[in-house]
Amino acid sequence: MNNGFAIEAQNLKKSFGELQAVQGVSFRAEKGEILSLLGPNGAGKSTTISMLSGLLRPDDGDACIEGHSIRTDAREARAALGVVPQDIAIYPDLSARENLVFWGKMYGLRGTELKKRVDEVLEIIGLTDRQKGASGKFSGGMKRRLNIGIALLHKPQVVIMDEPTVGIDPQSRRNILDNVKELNAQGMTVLYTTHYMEEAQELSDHIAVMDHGQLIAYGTHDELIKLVGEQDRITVTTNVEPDGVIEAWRKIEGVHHANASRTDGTVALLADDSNLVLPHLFEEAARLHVRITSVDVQEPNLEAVFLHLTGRALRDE
Amino acid sequence: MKILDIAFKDIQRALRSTFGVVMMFIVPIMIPGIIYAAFGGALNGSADSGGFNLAVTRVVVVNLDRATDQSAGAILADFLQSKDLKTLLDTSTATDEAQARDRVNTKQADVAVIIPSDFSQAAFTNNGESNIVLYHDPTLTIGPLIVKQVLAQFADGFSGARITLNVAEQQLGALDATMAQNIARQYAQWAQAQGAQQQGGQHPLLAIQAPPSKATNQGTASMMASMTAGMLVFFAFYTAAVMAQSILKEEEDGTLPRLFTTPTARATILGGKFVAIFLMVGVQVLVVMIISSLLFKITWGAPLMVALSIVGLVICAAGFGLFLLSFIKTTRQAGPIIGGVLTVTSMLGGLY
Repeated sequence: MNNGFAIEAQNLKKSFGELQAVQGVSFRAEKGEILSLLGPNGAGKSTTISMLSGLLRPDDGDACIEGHSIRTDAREARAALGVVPQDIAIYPDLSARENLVFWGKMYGLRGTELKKRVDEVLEIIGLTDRQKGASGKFSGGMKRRLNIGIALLHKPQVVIMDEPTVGIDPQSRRNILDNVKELNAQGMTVLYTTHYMEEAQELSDHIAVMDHGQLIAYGTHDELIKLVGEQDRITVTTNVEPDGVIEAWRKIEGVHHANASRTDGTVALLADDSNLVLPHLFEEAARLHVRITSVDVQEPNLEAVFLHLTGRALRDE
Repeated sequence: MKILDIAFKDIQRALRSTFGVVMMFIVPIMIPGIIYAAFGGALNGSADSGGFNLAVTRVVVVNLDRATDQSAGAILADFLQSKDLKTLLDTSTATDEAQARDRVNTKQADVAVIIPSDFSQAAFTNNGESNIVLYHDPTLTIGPLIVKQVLAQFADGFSGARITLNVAEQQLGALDATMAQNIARQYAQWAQAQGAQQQGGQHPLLAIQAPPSKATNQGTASMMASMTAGMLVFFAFYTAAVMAQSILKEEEDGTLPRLFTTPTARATILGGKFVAIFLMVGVQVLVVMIISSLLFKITWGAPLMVALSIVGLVICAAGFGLFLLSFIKTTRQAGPIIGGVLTVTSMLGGLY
């Protein structure tokens, strides 16, 4: 494999019984970039990063972290890696400092170096004042920050973050996203998994889109947008079941895609120019005695990319 | 080094659990302590060492026996006041029957023994008959029973004397009064001495020696040592299993998978867990042994053998704990399974 990349995955496969969770995923992350793995729940993101971080052994394929194979040089690969698990993994009966000291030792830090790094990380995650309190009594946001801090203790070249913003308040989310940017600015490579396209859009240099265990798209944000031809995304809500009118809308010139959401009954359409298409949408609806109750128009984004590639919305799972 | 770091962290967490500390250090002492408090006296058999303390019965004796020479009444009164019976009876005298009864009525005495005026005559002649009156508080049972037993034994002696007189008369012909009294008195004295000895739990023909006080205490200590040792073994295995449970807990909390993402070998992590259990159980055993030695005066034996036994116990307990946990999938399963397995194995091992 080319050792010039921070992360290089080749044909990773993992099955659990009959379920093929990851089906030959390959991607690369350049040193110092943020690569987001974007996909709905169950897409195989967590399984992929579990293989990269040494938790699961791939059935096939290999990956290198900073040039170290996860198969043949697993210990060095793990030493180069900091992992922020999706669920908070700290010892609640130990204080923030005690947690950091213990995990620092697990990464091989000792003595004054350990103490210095613990102090630095406490500062980074903003828990210096609360370092002696039992971490089990922290708020959710504070626990999340400690969860991230543990992965930073040994100054890893690569940090893997598995949906670190799930289930937290907007302020803590903002704080975490800023931390990720700051770490990246310091030269760390970040592999960030999320199902929030806004986060992927904001943070990423490259985005890998996964679905059903496969990598279905890879590129920069702009490259991915081009996949949908820079089409506008129109979301329409109707007063009745939209099945009849959808067929009519698909025939309108300039409409490339029309699909009803399974969860909220809205219709998602991709169109070259929403200004030209919208009047025709209303005409057809009126002709079929369907009343349009709301319309939302969005410039091309990752949601549209996912819809274009899979025919489903990212959050329809 | 990481092994010790993991072990230290596990011990630190275990010691922060109040329940854990109580189960590890307090309960193994408490259970033998309760048994000791409840049955320590029975084990000792000594009131001085906290055993059953039978209340001394207050006896008032009034001797109305008219005989002045060789008075059987005086012998009985002296016998009741003898120092051999001091641990059982606190005997005082009254001048007349009314005074004696009055002391019982006013609860100054538990039992009144009224020796009749013709007691000697009945005792020293072969055809006399007389009754000692026992007057006591009807709510009392044990004290009057003891006095009754003592008097019955004494009366048996005089009955024996009368039988002796009858036999002597049959063998020797009619006896003069002096000879008859001498025979009766000697027999009565012998019977009295025999009774006194039997009162002390010793037959005159058997040389039974009570163990000295220190030996009795050692017997108790030995009994306590057996109980404490049993508890120690049980709780060593319990602690080991509970400590091993930290593997399941860490898996559920996500810290075990996170440990696997660090450059730490899985063998090191498991080794750390084993060392934590080993050290924790070792400390527990030592603490319990030291405290039980101080509280129950238990002598555990030669230090080298004790040390080897502790090491053996701790290794077995730690291995058992990890082995048991290998069959358990969740912490919810752990409680009932650990409790069940330990109870059954303890019963099979003879702890209960």
